[in-house]
Amino acid sequence: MNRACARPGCGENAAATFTYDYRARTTWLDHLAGEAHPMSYDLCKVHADGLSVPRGWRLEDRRDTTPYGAALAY
Amino acid sequence: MTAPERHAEVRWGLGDAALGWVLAQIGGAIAVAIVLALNSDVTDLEDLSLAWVAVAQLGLWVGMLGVPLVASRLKGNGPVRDFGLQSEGWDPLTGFAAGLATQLFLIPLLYGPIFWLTDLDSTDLEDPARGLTDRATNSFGVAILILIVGIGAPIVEEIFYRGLLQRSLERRFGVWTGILGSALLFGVSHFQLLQLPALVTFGVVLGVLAHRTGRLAAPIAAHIVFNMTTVLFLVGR
Repeated sequence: MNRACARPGCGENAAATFTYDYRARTTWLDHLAGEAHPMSYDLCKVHADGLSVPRGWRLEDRRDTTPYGAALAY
Repeated sequence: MTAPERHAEVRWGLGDAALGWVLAQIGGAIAVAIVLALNSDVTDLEDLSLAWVAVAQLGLWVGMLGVPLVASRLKGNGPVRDFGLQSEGWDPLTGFAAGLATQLFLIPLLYGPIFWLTDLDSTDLEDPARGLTDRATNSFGVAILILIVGIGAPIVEEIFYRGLLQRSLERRFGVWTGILGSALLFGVSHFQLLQLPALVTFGVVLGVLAHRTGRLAAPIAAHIVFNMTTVLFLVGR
């Protein structure tokens, strides 16, 4: 499932996916989507963390996580 | 008054634990190879459905569960007596509290300095767990997920690590070598570097529970609660 960051010149593995809606002037940032899609863009962690949107737009970072970092022993 | 129940001295030990671990790794590798061969369109294990993950997991569990069961039957008094595969009194509740406390308090305490000293954060720690829980996209997937991490892994791993391995190490080298040794192998065997401190720490908690109670019910309950807390957080968000 390794895909590269969409930022030009960045070869890092993608860690997040963003989508947007012009009419709603909203950008959504999510954990990396399971599959690539022409209407979404993958970013590495650094570029996802630094993502900014134009003035008047809203960025919704939905990469919600547990407040503490959860582990799984299986 | 009846005569005290006598049990034959057990003859299983570290050799059986080593055999179980090696067979588990070989079984796991063979199962993964078979699963990948049957899913020729899949090149990355992370793309497998949870049903196929469960099949691959069975290969690992055959050795991990089979060797302790066979060894305790052939060289001891059976798994119930030899490994303390039973529950008494407060065991489940003690395990419940220990599993929840480790997941919610001990691990954050442990990783606070790691996150502070590096550019890693809780998202990185959760990555392997999320890679699994994200595949539970319907009720069947959630059921398979619970079967793997909420039931199968806790029972199989506790019988192997706290039952066979820890007791073998304790008999030969003493209590703390048993607890620490089994916790270390438990952590390393998950092959996840960032998660290693959490898994070794949790292994110590499980080892202490197994030693203090003399039974596996408390560590199995702790393991179930530890995993299910993560599953509930990640699937239910």
